[in-house]
Amino acid sequence: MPAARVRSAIAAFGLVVVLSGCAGRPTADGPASVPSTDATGPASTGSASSGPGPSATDDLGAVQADLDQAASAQRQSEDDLANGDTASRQGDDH
Amino acid sequence: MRPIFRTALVSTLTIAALAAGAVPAMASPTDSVAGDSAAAAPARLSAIQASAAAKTSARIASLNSAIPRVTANRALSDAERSTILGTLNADLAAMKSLAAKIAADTDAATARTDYASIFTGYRVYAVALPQAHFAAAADALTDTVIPRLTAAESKLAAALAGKYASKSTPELQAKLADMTTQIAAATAAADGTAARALAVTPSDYNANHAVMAPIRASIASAHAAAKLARADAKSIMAALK
Repeated sequence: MPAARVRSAIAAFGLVVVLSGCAGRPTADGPASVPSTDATGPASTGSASSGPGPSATDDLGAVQADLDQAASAQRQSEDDLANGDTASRQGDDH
Repeated sequence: MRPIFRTALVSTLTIAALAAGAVPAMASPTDSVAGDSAAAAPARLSAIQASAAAKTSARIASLNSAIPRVTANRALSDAERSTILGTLNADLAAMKSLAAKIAADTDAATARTDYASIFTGYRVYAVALPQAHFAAAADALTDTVIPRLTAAESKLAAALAGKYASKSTPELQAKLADMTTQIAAATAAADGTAARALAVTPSDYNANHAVMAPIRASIASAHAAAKLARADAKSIMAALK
C-alpha cells in the first residue's frame, strides 16, 4: 500500500475518533440524560402547609400492604402452633 | 354372708383377676413382665397386639394427614421441609413395620417391648408432629411476619419524619418506638426457634418430657410481640389518615 494512502487512512480514522469524542463529551451542565430539577417539576416532599400529597397516600397503602402480609403470615403461624399443640395432646405417649 | 367376709371375698377375686391378666394394663405399656405366668401370656399378648394395632393405626393416619400439609406449607424452607418429611416418612414406615411385627409376635415380652417402642422410639405425637408444626410457625415469623413489620416500621418512621411531620405527636413517636421494641422482641424470640424444634429427638423427649415447652413458649412470645407491633402500627396509621 502506498505511503500516501496509509497516511490518508490514518488521518480519516483520527478525524472520526476526535468527532465521536466531542459528541460524547459531557457539558458543564451535566449529562443530558439526567433531568434537571426546576420549579416546574413535581415536588418530592410535601410541605407542612400543603399536607400529604398523592405519593404520601401511596406510602400509607404500602404500609398497609406490609401489615396485611404480616397479619396473614401470623395467622398461618398461629395455626401451625395450634396444630402442634393438637398433635401433642393427641398422643398418649407421655 | 357377713359384710366383712363379702368385702374380703371381692378383694381376693379382684386381685386374682388382675394377676391372671383379665384386665390388661395397656395404659402403661412399660409395665414389668416379671409377673407374667405362662397361662396369662397369651391373653396379654392378644391385648397388646390389639392396642398396638390401634396405636400404630392412629399414628399412621396422623402422619398420612401431616405429610401433604408439610409438603404444601410455604412457610418452611426447602431444607427444613426436606428434614421434616424425612422424619415423618421414616416414622410412617416404622409404624407400619411395627404394626406388622407386633401382630406377628408370639410372646408377650417381645410384643410388650415392641409396643413400648411405638412411643419411646418415635414420639410421633410428642415430638415429630409438633416439631414440624412449630418449625413452620417459627419460619412464618422469621421469614414473613417480622420482615413485613420491619418494613412497615421503616415506612412509618419515614412518614412521621417527612410527609406527615405535621401530624407527628409524642404519642405517635412513642407508638413507633414501642413498635421497634416489639419487633426486636419478636425477632429475639423467633430467631433459631425452627432449628431448635427440629433438633429435638425422641431420646431428648424420653429424658425430658418438657423439652418442647420452651420452643412453644418462644413462638407464642414472638406471636404476642408481633401482635403488639401491629397494633402500634394500626394506631399510627389511624392517626395519619
